[in-house]
Amino acid sequence: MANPRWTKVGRDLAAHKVRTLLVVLSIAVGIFAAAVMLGGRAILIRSLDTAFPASNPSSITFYTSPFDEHVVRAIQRDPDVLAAEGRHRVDLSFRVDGTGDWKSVTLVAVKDFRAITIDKLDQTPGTRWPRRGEVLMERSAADFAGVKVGDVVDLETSGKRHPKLRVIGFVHDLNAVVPMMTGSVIGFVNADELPNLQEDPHFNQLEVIASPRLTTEADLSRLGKRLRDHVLADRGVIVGRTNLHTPGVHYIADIFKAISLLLSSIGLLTLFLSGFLVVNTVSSLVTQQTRQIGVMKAVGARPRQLVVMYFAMVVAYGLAALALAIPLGQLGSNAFVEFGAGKINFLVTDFTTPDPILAMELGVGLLVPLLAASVPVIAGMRMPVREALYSQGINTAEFGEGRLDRLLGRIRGLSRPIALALRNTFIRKGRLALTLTTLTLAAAVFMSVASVRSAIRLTVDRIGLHRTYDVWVDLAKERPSGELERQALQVRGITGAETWNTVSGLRIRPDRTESQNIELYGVPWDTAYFRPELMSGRWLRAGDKDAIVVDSGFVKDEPDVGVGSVVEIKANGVDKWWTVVGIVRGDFLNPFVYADRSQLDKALNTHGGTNMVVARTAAHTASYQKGAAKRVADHYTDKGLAVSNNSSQQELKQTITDSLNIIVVFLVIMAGLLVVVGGIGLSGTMSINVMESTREIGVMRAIGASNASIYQVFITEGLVVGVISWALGAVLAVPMSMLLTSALGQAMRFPLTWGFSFEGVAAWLGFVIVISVWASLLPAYRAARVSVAEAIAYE
Amino acid sequence: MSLFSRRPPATPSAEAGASGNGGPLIHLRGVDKVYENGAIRFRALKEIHLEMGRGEFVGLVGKSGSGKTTLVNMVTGIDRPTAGEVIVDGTPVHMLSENDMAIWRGKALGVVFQFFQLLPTLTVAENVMLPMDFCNVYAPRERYARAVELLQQVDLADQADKLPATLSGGQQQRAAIARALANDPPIIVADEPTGNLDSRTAEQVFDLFEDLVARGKTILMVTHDNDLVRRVKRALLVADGEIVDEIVNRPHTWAE
Repeated sequence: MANPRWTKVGRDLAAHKVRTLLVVLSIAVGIFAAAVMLGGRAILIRSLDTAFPASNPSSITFYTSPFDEHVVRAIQRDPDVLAAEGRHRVDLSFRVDGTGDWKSVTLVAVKDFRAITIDKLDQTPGTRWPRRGEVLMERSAADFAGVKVGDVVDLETSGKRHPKLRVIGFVHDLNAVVPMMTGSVIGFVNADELPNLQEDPHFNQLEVIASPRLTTEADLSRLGKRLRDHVLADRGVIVGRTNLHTPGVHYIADIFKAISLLLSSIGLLTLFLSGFLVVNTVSSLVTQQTRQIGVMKAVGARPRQLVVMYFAMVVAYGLAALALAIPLGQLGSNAFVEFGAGKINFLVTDFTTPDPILAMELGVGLLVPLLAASVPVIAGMRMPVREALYSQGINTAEFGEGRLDRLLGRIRGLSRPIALALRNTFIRKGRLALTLTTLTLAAAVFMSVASVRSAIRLTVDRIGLHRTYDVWVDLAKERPSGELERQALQVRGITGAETWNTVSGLRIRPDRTESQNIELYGVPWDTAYFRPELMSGRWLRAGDKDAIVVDSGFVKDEPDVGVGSVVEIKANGVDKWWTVVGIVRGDFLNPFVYADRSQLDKALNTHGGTNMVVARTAAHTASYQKGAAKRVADHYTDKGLAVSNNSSQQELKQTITDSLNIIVVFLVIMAGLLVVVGGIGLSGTMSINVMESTREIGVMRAIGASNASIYQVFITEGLVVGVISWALGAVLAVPMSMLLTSALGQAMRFPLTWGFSFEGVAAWLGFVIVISVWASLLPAYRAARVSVAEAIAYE
Repeated sequence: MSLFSRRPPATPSAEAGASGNGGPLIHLRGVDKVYENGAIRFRALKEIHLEMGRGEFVGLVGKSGSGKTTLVNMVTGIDRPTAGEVIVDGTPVHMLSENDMAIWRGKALGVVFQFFQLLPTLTVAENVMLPMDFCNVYAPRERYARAVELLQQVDLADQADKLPATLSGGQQQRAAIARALANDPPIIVADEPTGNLDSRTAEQVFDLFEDLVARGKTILMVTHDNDLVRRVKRALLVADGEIVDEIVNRPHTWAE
């Protein structure tokens, strides 16, 4: 026959099913949330760490004038170059099956797909490389543009021709920037397709992998400069843009770092939360068992034996929680990883939970409950036998001594059940403190997550505020300013226009290394189309000589630059020194520098020519703006002016919003998980409170309380706790959301404007009210159904 | 009408308190118990002197709040004296640590409560086996047989595998007595064991106690039942924390 001690442990677990379920769920929910967040994070990191080096990422990308294989071989001969490949890249518009909106596509033409060694592509099983008339789409196109295998896409070339390509399948390019961030999908075609696309058959994009000896960005910058100024320039190849890729760092690293920071911090907070829940439930369990502990001591149980018994019970809870949480956590993290990986275009093949995460889950499942239980269990064991034996189960806590108690006692005009509920809430102050800590934390984290979402929205909205034009059109060549403005105003729906000059440049640092590409804008100093938000210094003035204003994106990349700095900028082959007079808030994508248009014109010798038109439209909806931009572009094309790009404010905003939405999506998932954790926590705590009050319920019923009065008492108690935790949570959420927003901004290297989410505060209030009522109603209903005698005898 | 005639406070009778091996089995010397709750100080026991010999059946009587339960709690070690000494079978109970106390209590004493206090999730037999298990007395495979044997003695062998909730009050109390006997302790301490039973059942329980005394057990019992008081070998009247009266083998004296 089994040892009665262990029989008791087993039967207690089985006999108190609701309590067992609550404790198991309290533990499991923490493990589950941590498994989803920390496990998902670990799987994504592992996947990127394996797939990224395996893709042989390029170190430098040059966008150039046409070149051929000889140039590629010359680059390959450079001692600091490990590999080099040429490709042809063309940006076009496309639509599927001759219907729908025109969308942007970047087609990359490759001579021999099998020979690709840089930025390798993963073929989806069953697909082959494209022949003439065919295109292989990057797999993110499926979600972003709704492209399917077998679709025929119409393309629009610069010559207004409409060649068609059939989609033969999908390929994964880990190094391709996701369409969410660029607004453009990517497709791969055979180089034989280029004449059909009215494109030069030569290469215009050079991918280079630097020797592993070059480990820093500065090394790469020097190599890029040497290849551009010597190897390429010597062969007549002009470089329009150079992109340096920090060795070992994927392009999405900043956003990934931010997501990772969110996942780990919220994951750990959730674990902390779960720990509180466990302390709460286990201490309630020990309280309920006090008299039995007294009896066992009276018949010879030693404290250590009892501690072992109750720890065994907690371990059993932990094991049950693990049995529930590990498979569910695996499923959750799989779904989460699949979803998240899709958003950032990772191809995850190995979904197994990494060993350290599994070890963490086991540790949390067993150690956290044991640690949480140790305080109430040891305190329970230390309770003198007499106290334990004569514990009535009814509240023996003192009420009436504290200042708060006296204050509550002084509140008049409340009905007796409401007064009882209010005072009951504060009678078990230790328990109340634990419950409030748990719920306040859940509330604060939820509201902070909602606030980060607000901060992202606010930041995006503010970007729109600075630009008071609706559309812009980039021209392939500079044209006289007056002509462009006149032509633009002839287009239907255009109410105002201004010409700017834009050129890609580089900063030459004092150590002669070069920065990443910067966008240099020549704008009239008194422009009415741009109202930047000054962070320091001032905006451009009339008569400013060699003055520039840089944006926060520039300062982020070039931290030595401040107001008053004199910086050397190279653009159009001209080096010039400029003085920084102000810093304005940037808009995420690239570093921007602004100079007075006439000053830039003088510096670059463009002789009054401008290459960008910004215009205001009669209406401001996304579709109107898009149509107007296209009408201006078409008008210029008809007038023989080559247009290289047209876009609208709403499109830009959408692109930035979509990029940041990657983080928002993760935030929403986390908020959802918190709702689950908070919900289970709140219902668990409320249920325990009601269960502990079963004896009071018996007493109240014995003196004539109706079921309705009993519900009233417990629902009010639940609501009081819920609302207090909500209010405290809202207060705590202010500094917490500030910290989280600032940490996120730092991780992304893009400052976010903090904004408190009152929507989040309201949402949690609604949630807390529903849960408080629900969680109190069920156990109160159950308790109200037991007979007075049973309720009084309840242990 | 008082059940007791006024007599001077009891002094421990050397004859009654003599234990079989020459000294008293239970010896309380100058035991004081004071409870303090904030500003309120309550002296529950006042300099109690008590000796009990082996095989004695002693009843403690008195009104509610007189200190009877506090006094038996001193003997069982459930509570500790504020001053004085409690020596049970040569063991200074008041000096034992919680851990040692538990081991000692499990082996030396059987405790019977008014509300039975059987663990609700264990069967009757398992409740009886629990003290053997805690104190590691008897080999594990013998424990069930012993539990059934003890239950047989209290006429409950057929209920061994039932849960306490299915038993009547009298049956539960008899099961609690069987549990008190689990480790074959020389002393049984019972706090109002019949207080929650009807008179017929109380009679059965008392018969059981008498039988145990006949078999050499020493019993200290708190009771309110006047009829039962008359049947104990020695009765002590407790009032205001003091033993104010004592009667030995003359059950009718107080009622007269």
